[in-house]
Amino acid sequence: MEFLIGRSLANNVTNLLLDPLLRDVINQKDLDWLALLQKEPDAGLGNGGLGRLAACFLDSMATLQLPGMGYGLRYEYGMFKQTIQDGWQHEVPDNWLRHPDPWEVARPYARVTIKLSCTFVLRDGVLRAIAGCDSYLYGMPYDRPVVGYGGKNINTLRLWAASAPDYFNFQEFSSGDFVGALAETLAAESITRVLYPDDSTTMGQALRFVQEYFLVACSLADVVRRFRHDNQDWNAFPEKVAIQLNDTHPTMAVPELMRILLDDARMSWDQAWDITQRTLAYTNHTLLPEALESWPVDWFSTVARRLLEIIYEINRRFLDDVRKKYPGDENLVSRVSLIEEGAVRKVRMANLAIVGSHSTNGVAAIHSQLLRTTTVKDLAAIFPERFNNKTNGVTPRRWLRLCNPPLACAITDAIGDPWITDLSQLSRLKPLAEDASFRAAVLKAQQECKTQFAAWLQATSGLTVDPQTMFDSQVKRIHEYKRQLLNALRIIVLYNRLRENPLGHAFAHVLLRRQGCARLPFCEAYYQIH
Amino acid sequence: MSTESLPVVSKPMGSEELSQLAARYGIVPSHLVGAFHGLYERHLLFDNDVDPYLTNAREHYEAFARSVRDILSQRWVVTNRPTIAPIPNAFTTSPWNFSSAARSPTM
Repeated sequence: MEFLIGRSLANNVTNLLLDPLLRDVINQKDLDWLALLQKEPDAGLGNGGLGRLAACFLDSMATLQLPGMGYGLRYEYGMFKQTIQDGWQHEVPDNWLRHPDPWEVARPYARVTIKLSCTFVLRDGVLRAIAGCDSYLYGMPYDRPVVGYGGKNINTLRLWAASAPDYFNFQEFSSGDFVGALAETLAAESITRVLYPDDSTTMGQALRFVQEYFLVACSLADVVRRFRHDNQDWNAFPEKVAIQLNDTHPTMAVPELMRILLDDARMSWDQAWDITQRTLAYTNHTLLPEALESWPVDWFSTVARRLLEIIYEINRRFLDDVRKKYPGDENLVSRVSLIEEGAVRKVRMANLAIVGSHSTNGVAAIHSQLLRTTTVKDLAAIFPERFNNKTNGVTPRRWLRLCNPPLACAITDAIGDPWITDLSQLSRLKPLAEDASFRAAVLKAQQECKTQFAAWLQATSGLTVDPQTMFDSQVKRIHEYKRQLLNALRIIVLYNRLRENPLGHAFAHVLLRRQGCARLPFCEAYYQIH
Repeated sequence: MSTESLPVVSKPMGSEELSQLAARYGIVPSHLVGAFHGLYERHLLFDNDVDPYLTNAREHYEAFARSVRDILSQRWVVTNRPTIAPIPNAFTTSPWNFSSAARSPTM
């Protein structure tokens, strides 16, 4: 649901190995390359680690020449722009598609039609669902190239934009209600207008629920269409298609794929369930119980009635199996049920993802362990073979070769460039740990970057820092779960230690914080300790 | 003018490397810039019908990005084919070249 891809031009030039050629062009045309790069808007189609992980996976798949495709939403407004005023964070909408985007290609011929169990209307500027009246939405795909390193393979990131069917309400139009006639179009387009900020709760996010359903329905329709283009045998589906659910956001893929296999392919329940489980896998991103998604049953009933029927049947069969395996343990049945009982009955999306897939992974060894032993320990006991770990990684093409050319150069000079596509090659640097010339090259690269950073800081904030000191920085949005307050307290601790014992620190230290919370007066402040 | 942010890992390109690039993407350097059929100049002039002498940094960015996209387009199309096709070069005519007589370099 999120792809934090950022800017593409420099990344694509790097991965296409066009940089030497480009340098010649820039010289020839006398262009200001930095100014040109800064004109590309930052495609902030994600909130943080989850979205960047997805973008890095796309880069890796393209580089490894694996035929992978990313599916997401074409948010008109991505991650907000952070501004700090008087020490407080202000979020500014980021209309990153204000100008034409050279990287995206609209594919109207690949448009899909999605059925909803309700109609959406705009009333007083608010999007409202009217239950009991089926309607349709169009999903328009916009493709972006994902360039593998070396340019041999170019995969696709397909982003869906919502729109209304092409008809026009002539009755309303002829009666003079031109705005009313367009209301449905406006309502439809609102669905993919904005990326929800990651506030680690799911409170009051009805539109987010519709976004998730829209993403899943469009993407599965596309996957099935591509599969059916070359395959007649549905049983080959899990061998040809592997779908990785990045967190629970696309978990409606479980009932939606079941719906396609049951209703469209006319399969038996057992056949459809086998294919669904073998096709889907789930990546968990959070251990916090309050951050695990659960959506009201009523919302399913309103937006996607058929999916709710299927979820109930999955749950009935699953709980029957649990009762057989653990007879008399109704507390366990209650804990693992896909339905959370209470004043508002809800569907537990993590439980649905685990039950409906063949693999559940965390993104770090300790995370995966805690997932198994705390967050979903009952389900891990029932399906121990499904749980595994896949430690997060980042692409070294973007985050080393492109981000830090001086260091990349020093490494390449020492061990050649195979590390760019095989990071394990960096272990060949170990014998050079005591090598004077390599150490000098690394220190020189580091100093070059710090000097550049100090110049940037001076130019953008007026602050002067000594590039010889140690930099300690945290660049994040302001949110309590990011623990900025703890970092602020640490600054105070260091400052107090300095006051008590001015000679107690053997190193120079610059703390850089970009934050504006709780009346702490150090927006872009720094403390220098000698 | 600055080229400071350009990645510097790669060494300057030799003729053999240029040949490899041409084979991979079906281009030669003169396709990117050049008085007659350079991708960049064409995008700069024709995409927005603006006098190249009056363009701003945003228009330069768009022209550059579109030129790079042109270069990767053939590989993108081939990658998306359902069955593996020999690459390069499936096209006999450079898609960015208006002249019907223009041919891609011999592979």
